[in-house]
Amino acid sequence: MSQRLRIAYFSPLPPARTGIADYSRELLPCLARLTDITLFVDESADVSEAISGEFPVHRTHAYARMRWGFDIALYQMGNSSYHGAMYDALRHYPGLTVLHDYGLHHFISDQTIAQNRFAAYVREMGYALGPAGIELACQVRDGQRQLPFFEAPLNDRLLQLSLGVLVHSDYVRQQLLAQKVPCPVEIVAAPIASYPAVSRRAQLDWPADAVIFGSFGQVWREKQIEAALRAFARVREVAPQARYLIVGDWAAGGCDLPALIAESGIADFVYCTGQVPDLADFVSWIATADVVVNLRAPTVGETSATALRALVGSRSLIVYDHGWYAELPDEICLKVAPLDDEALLAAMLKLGTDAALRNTMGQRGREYATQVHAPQRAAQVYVDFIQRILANLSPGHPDVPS
Amino acid sequence: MTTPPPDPLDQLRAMVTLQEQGFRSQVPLIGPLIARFRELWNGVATKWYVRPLIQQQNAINQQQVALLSAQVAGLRDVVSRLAVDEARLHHQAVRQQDHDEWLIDLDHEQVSLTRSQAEFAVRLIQVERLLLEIEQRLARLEPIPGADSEGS
Repeated sequence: MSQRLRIAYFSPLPPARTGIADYSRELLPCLARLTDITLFVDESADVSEAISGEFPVHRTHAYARMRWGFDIALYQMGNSSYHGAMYDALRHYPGLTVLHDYGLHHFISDQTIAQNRFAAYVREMGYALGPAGIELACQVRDGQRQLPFFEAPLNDRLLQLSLGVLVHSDYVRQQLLAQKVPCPVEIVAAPIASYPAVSRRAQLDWPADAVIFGSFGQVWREKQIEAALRAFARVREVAPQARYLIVGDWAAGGCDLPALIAESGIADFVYCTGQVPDLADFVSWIATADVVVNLRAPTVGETSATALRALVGSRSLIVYDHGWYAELPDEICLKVAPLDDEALLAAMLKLGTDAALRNTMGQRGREYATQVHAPQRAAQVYVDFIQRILANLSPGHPDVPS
Repeated sequence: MTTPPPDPLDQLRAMVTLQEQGFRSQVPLIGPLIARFRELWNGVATKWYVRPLIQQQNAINQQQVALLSAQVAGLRDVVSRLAVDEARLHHQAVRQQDHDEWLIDLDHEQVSLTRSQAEFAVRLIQVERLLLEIEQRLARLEPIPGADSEGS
């Protein structure tokens, strides 16, 4: 096709406090150089002026009557409540789906059970798992078992509807191939932009030689902050100048962080910022840490924007060795076996006591992230993939009946 | 063939009426005389005091047995109705499962149709773009007949 692609782009957008809004903020300028983009957002969502000044923005419900004006709909789909309206649109008008999380059980339960629509949850479980899924859902309703968040990804409907799926890791791609999804699946390295960041170290009143460990983003149970703080308490026995920085909202994640810190006896050596106002502030705090401890277990196949921002910011990084994280090159981060406290302690001690290693790793990480995860590179993968989907569906293609 | 266990209710029915017992004596020769004497003496007390009590107790027993019989009959009826309901429930559960499977199949079919519809929509849009492109090219190649004369 010689003309520019016209894309209907569905995504949460800034100021929404979700990683996918930031993802779109960083991808859109590059994608807009190659295609014509119209944005579609939830009925009640705000859109920052920086975005609405650059792109036409419409409410999701308007897409039904506008859809003939676009070559394809593109859905940025994640596992949070920000994706409710777009999921409804996707169910009626499928297109290209960018799957940010392999598992969508949290999202589905939020859209069904949390809204007193248990029958809709039963339907999704039945769709994915057959009659056994219905039985399982009934057991959940009767309180006989917990929601199977990690056992049932509940992504089947979305995958079977989509004309193509973009994912951010081979880990997720392999799972989709095992599910025999009926459409092309392609990997795109998650785009990450580099921002000027100023370390906030001076604000902290900590010793000049303090090695600062840090964890960033919303503090959920899966982020394993408890394991990180346990290991930190032991690191201090060897490196008493070590400090820990926690940046992000902890109240919403159901974690009593102050109590946890007090119990560990490290209250004087840990600083929690709470929720920070914007991305600029967030990256500045990342720049403040020497070692970013970015754990997640279990994983739902997510890509961590925090890990990528740490790499772009030349920070040394510790992750669990599974999911997308396992695909990061060994020379840019330390990977430890999931939930292995001793391995985590060893990694923290290694980076906490070796400034040269931190610097080397940080520089390599920055080189890797700025090359592989460059937004313009991701934008080109998007365009190539869309064109491939359209070519497969075009009149004259051998798969298309005449 | 094994004999069925005795029905406790029948056993109870057999015992419902209290019987006055006759007096006997094992004493040789004068035994019948003693028994006769006791019977006469007992007749005085039984006639006026014990016999009404026996009659009252018999009436109570008969009522109790009648009540129990009615309850047992009721219970038997409930049990047989439960068996029917249970069979019906089982049948319903099987039908419900068939229904669930049918709905799941329909759901999958609907998804497949929606996807096909989306594919056709994409193709249609591409064809429209192609046609528009062709029209534009044609317009550039061939001026519309009479367009010049109208314009001049």
